[in-house]
Amino acid sequence: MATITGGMKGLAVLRRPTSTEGVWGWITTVDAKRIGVLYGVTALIFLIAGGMEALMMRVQLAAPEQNITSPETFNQLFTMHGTTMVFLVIMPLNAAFFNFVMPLQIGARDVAFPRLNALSYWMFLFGGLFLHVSFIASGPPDAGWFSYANLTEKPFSAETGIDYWILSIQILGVSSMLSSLNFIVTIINLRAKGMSFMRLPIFVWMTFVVAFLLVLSLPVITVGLVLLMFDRFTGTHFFIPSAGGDPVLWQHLFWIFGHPEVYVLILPPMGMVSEILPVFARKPIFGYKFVVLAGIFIGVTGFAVWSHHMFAVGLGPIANTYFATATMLVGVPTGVKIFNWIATLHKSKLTFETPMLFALAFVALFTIGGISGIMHASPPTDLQQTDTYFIVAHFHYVLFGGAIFGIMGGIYFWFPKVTGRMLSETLGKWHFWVMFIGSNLAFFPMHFSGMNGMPRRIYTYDSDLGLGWLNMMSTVGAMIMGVSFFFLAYNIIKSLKSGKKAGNDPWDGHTLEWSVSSPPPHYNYEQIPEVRSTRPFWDQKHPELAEHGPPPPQAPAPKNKHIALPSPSYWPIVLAAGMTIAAFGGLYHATILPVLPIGLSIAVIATYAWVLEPPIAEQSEGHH
Amino acid sequence: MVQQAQPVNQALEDLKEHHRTSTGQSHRKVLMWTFLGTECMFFGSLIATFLIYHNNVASGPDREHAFESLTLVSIMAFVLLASSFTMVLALAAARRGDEKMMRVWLLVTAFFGLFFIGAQGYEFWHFTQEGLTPHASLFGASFMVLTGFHGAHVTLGILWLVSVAALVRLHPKTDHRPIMATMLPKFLGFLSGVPKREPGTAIEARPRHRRFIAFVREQTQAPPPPVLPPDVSVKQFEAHHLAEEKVLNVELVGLYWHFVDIVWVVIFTVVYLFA
Repeated sequence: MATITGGMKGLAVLRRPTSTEGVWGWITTVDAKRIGVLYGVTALIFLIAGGMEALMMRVQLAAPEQNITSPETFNQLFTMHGTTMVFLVIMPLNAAFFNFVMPLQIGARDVAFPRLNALSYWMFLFGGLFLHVSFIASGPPDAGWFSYANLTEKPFSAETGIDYWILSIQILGVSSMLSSLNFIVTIINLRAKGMSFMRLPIFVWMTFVVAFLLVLSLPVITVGLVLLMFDRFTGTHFFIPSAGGDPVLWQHLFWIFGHPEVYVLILPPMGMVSEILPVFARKPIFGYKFVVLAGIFIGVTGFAVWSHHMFAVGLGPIANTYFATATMLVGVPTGVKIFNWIATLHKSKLTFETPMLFALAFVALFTIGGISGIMHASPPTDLQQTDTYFIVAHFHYVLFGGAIFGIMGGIYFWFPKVTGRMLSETLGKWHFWVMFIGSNLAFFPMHFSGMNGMPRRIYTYDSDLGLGWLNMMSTVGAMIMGVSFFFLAYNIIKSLKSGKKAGNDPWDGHTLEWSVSSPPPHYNYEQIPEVRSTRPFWDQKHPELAEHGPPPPQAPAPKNKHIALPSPSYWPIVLAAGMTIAAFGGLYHATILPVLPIGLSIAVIATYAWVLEPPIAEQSEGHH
Repeated sequence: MVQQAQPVNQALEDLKEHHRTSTGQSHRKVLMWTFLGTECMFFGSLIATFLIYHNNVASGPDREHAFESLTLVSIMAFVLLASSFTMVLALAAARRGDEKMMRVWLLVTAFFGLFFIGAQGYEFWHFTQEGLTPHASLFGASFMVLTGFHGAHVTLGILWLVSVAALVRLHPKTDHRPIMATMLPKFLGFLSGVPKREPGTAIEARPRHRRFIAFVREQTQAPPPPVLPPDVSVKQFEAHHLAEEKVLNVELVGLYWHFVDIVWVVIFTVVYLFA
């Protein structure tokens, strides 16, 4: 083998950028921590859009028989609100933590494929912007976030809104697919020495489960979207009943993706809460293995329950019985997790900093949402509740009371690590209490309005129904929730300007990310630590109490140590732009301009440039 | 201290740390296997769609009629499966460090793929003549979307194979004359049974089938991966890693190619044979 030397030299024309400064530094970055920040900031901006849409709907529904928004606009609002919150807010907020926290927690310097990671972010950004271009085209999509066929077919939705929806979900799907593949490989392959799977922090475990859920479920929705695209663009009739097409097939394809997707939204916040609770309870998490196994079990079962979204379709008693049973089964591991969190708090010296408040609220509110979920796991009950505000109450308790509260806890918990500055506790507590009161005032009455016959996705309701005051409560609550985010925004701005310096370890943390400076250096760890337990950093601080004996002493890094880091690259953003331009071309397929070939050409050129650009400086890395 | 501490080769340690993976497997290989998992879900959904719609023939021809003759599609299946074999030979050649044969087998694989795509194009044209189109019936639509996506995967694979053949250099100094100029005479000589005579050697007096067996043996031979000596130098380590990465380039396209072939085996069985 001695004859085999020398690398495939990168082409001289393709220079990799070296500067990490300024706007170009951010555009060409391949650093997972920076990409995490980009994800977080972008998602919070989309949160403003999605929140505004929600508030507009709540204003329209505040009193019966109002005409502030037209029925058509209302349809567009709830479609965009749902799509935005799922794909452009909660998923990327989770991705922000995957990017920033997960590599630090496993003792890695970066993710396995840094450029692929950047590509995922740019595709997410462009996919989100692509969806919002529909506002200035012929109007946004209006068929709901699950876009049931055959409402989405040409005869019923002739405008381009649905096309924008289909193609942006495809772009966002590619983005999530690539980042999930990346995270799977990172967790499998880049763990620090000694960090076996049963020593991974629970947040990392949830990242791992979620990544598998995504890589196995996204292809299914892709097929659904492709079939719908053929219907709309080329005139096939996969979902047109008059030609023998089956709209229920769309529902199956959507929910085989859609149900794992809701676990994709909730499992990462569960992981964050599982990191926050033990730190502020000053105890290890109770029953680590059970929390992990419950997470895996929830993930696996997530693929076996999709038709509980379709009880009203009439799939027959056998299918309904099976899906009801399987759905109730999911309650078991979820309950295991809840009891583990509670047991973690038992007999502990709790402190109530802001992250802890959000984490505790998560446990409480998620439990309410979980219990109402179990209620409509039963088909007869579900037939009463489906498409009413009871369902809206249920999934907002899990997605807002659950996911958003968990993520807010995560933001308050890891913000000092990201920026090096503390968020204000006073403002944080204001944020928490206003949001807590607002969300409960908004969502709890929805249980009752739904039970009393308020249908979901309807732009107004009869004043005789007597639902006016419940709706008014929800609207007031939503406004209070909206106000609570001003506390967060002000808190962030104030902290960035004049926040208290955080130091490495402001919360007396358990996991490795707290052992490095805040913000962490580009390379994360000078010496990759060796791990002996699920709380490696806590063991370092308290060697006498360490579970498996004192950790091995960390040798200082040798002076002449060289850490090879991936260089920035132009091609991720170019490739993402090429694919997005191609999507525009595909959307306006009838026009003369060859936008589709242009976009594809850019993508192909970027792909080859990506492969051929020189490997990282000095040390070669494999070509993809 | 009985034994003097070995001076640490820091550059080597850094390099080892840089390339270390928890499983010992390359990132890209783990990525590829995971990606193939997602592809299973993708084709699974397309096949399910086909199975739901295959009886919906509307005004177009039905399944029995359309798949009456399986000659062409059997040849297509045979050629595609044969391309899996040549793919294996390409990887074996890469492992041997035999860059030329690696390139030959990669291009033969791509050529078989091209034959498949051409035959599929003819098949689609033929079906269109018979009235089996995506618009005629859901059977036609789901059939063409399923096999069309498989064909798109084959096409992408061809581009990938050709790119690997064109771009991967196992050796720094390689004879960059076109393959046709260097390899074709050798290959033709082999086919015609006239052994190539190296100057100063005796003509091999083996019968043709023996030579064929010898050729197959040679082509399927892949030595075990070299083991690095403990006192490896930085240069050696780097060269070893690079060599592994290059072979991996071939292995990855191989994994993808075999997967696409397996998908065809499933499609052939479910779509054509069960008709």
